[in-house]
Amino acid sequence: MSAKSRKWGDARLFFIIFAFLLGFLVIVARLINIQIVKAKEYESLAKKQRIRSIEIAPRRGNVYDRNDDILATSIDTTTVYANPYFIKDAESVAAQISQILGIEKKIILDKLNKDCGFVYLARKIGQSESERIKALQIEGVYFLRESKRCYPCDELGSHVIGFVGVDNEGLTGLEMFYDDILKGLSGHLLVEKDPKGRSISTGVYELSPSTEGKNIYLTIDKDIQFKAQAELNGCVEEYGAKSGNAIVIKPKTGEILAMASYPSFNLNEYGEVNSSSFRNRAVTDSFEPGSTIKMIIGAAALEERIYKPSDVFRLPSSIKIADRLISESHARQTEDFTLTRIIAESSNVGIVKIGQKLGKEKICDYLSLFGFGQKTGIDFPGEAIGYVPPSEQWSGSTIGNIPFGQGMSATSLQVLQSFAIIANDGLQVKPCLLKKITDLNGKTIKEVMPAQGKKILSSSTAQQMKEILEKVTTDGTGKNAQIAGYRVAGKTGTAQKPGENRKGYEKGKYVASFVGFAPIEEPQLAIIIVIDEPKGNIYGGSIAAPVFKNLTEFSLRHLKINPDKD
Amino acid sequence: MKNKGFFEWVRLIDFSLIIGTFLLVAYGNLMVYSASYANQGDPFVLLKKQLIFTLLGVLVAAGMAFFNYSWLRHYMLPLYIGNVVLLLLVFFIGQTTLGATRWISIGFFNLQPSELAKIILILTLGAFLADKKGNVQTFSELVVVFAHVGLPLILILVQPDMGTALVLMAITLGMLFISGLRWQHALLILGIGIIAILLIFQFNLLREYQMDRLMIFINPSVDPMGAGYNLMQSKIAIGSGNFFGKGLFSGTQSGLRFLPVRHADFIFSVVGEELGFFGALILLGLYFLLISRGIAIAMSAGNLYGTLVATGVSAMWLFQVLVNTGMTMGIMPITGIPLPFFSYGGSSMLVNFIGAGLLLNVYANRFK
Repeated sequence: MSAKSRKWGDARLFFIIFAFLLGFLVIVARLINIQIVKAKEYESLAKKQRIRSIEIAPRRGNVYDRNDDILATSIDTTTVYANPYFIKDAESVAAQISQILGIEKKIILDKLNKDCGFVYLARKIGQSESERIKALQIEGVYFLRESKRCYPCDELGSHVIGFVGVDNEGLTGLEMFYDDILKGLSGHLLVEKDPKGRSISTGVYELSPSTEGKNIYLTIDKDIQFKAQAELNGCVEEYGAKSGNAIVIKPKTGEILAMASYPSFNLNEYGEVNSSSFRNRAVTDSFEPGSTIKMIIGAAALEERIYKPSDVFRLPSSIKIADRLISESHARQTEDFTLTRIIAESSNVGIVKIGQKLGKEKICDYLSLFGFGQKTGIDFPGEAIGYVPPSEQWSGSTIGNIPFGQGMSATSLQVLQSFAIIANDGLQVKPCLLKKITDLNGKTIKEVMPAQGKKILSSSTAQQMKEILEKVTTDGTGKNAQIAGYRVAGKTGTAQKPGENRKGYEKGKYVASFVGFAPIEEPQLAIIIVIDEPKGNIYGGSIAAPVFKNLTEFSLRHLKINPDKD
Repeated sequence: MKNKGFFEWVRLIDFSLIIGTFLLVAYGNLMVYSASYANQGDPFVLLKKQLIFTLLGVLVAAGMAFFNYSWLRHYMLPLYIGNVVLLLLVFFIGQTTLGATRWISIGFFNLQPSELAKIILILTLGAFLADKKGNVQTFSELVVVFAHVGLPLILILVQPDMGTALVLMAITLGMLFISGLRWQHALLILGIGIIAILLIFQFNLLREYQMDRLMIFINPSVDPMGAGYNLMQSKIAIGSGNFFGKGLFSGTQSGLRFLPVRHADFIFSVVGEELGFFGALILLGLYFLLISRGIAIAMSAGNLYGTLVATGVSAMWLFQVLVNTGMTMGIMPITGIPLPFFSYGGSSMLVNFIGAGLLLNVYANRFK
């Protein structure tokens, strides 16, 4: 090299060393910035992306009837999900999966083209379908075990049992009411995940294990429930009625053996029917009960010792209360009636006369005592309260309404409960649907003991009323409820339906009902039948009483209850 | 050799370069293992391959002690032709991986001719410039130099292998600069470079992924799950390493495979995460030692060819170290340039050992 170029070379050497040092300095400065200055920030980012909490869904408990027959259970199904970022050929994956599932290809393709790391492809599919998808071994498609609710009895007890949503959460009925018991406890896993979002076996820390749901046993008797639904459906359809409901209860314990509503639905296909069919009308709907309330008025008069069953009343063909004329449903001349006959033949004029003697305060007190205007406290969601106008709000004509069950409203369950009090020697028992709770292995965790009844009526009054109510079926309006071999007590009801605008009643629209119990000496069953808006015939005694008779007869035999009559 | 005494003999060997290289490859092999042991299958599979190429590299470098590097100067033309032929072969019998055709399968391993092209270019361009006595004074001479570089460069660009092409440019500029490039010409090259970049953007000459990488370089959080993923994960790995790191084999970012190609292009992130600022600084220190030896050897070389060859090797390493580490920390675009002696890769390992062998050779022959 020449002297000149050597000189040049010195300048160049200096430049090269400068560039070299500067380069390293920049890298070290950046390293300090990331690893020391911003270290905390990156540390939390690292932790956030690799730790995730996963919920482990427990298996939902079964629902059984009182005889250990399964009403609801959970079966294992597979859910297919995908991470679209790891799907290589969305077109062909969508084509394969949609063919197996029998759904449109576009639905799957749209999901696979989403810009996110998680999509459900199909939830809760059958084993054969999931096995076929698994066999394809598609990268980015994963599987999850989920349990699916299954109702082996389809329509049986559908209103009482209720159903669950896609995440196994109870939505209606007892599935909702006892959700906390049935669903169990979700467990939580703290999971170290890899970049594909999958958990790493060595990096799993269990925070809390999942607890399987418990089983519940209902007071429902599957056979009686079936009969109740069949009878109710037959009657509603025969008379072209709008709806109907029926309840079978054990008066001593309050256990409900059957609770039916019409229209009904299949629990396994609840998505396909109108949601109004889901209503358990016996509990959630109130109506003007009509003449069944005459029993309360009669019992109040007896309990207050105002009248005896044999006291005689001279009844005109009609009676004027304020601006209203109260007459009988079947016109008659002026006649002498005993108190027993007033109830047995369901005389409006007679019961209004007794009501006038009792006074509005006493009437309200006794209605309240028998449970009207309050919830019965049944273990079921959405119970209606009904309505009894307080005495201070009564108009002049109210006394000519309430004694025969118009101008007030109640649920079927409330009416039935009031009759159960008579059957149960004056003791009021809370109705219930839950019999016991067991764990996964069938070990009983809790048994529901029948609540101690509340004495609200003297035994003598209850006994007198029983005999009066027997006359309904032997000599009165409820002869259709007679059952061979058994002494049966009951009361018919034929109520006008209030108009939509709450003024007056709608012409030709009635609610026909029958409520009663048997056998009289040691009543084992109390049953109510309510038919809403029957067409043609409207009377409780001719429409509801035969249903009561069939259902009661079946239930007595099914429960092997001895006849008490020759 | 017989006539020389022991101390004479010792003076021919650059011990700091040798020790520095050995520490670097030992460190590198350890990190390759740490980055790959959690993979499925044999945990040692990558380490074994890397060790084999390390040993091959040592043998190649040792073999280079048996001849004077100046002898290579006479083989400029065959080397140049061989280089171009190898690069052309890639198009006919090359292996395609991830959309790029870069490898030729030769039995037990895949040769990457573009890696080899770096060291061959250093030798041929060195001979070419040395023939001109270090004087590239006219513009037409400059054009001839770029024609020399241009042919292999274009063959590499179309593979496509943007990263290696950039390394070739860095080598060329370094060697031109040291051989007396005029300042005016240096500015001209700079100007042409800027215009070329503008044209590339103007006419969308970049492939989509290259464009993405550049955009990500400008704003990495644009698309954290897509193209920006690598960079974001790399920064998280390094940042969460803190001062002393999470410990060898304990990196959660790399162990859980959040980091892509962590044993190759992103191995610096593994060092940063597992050994922290401390480990990264030691690594950079070793490179500093290696490259400063390279520059010293270039300055002390016995002839211009030696100076040019040593400069080329030093420029190659410096550029690769700065771009690779800068890329893992988001101050350089992601271009897929490996870390010398450190990233997993057979061709790259051999080429770096050839480079080290050349430096030792130039050093040993500095008095001739």
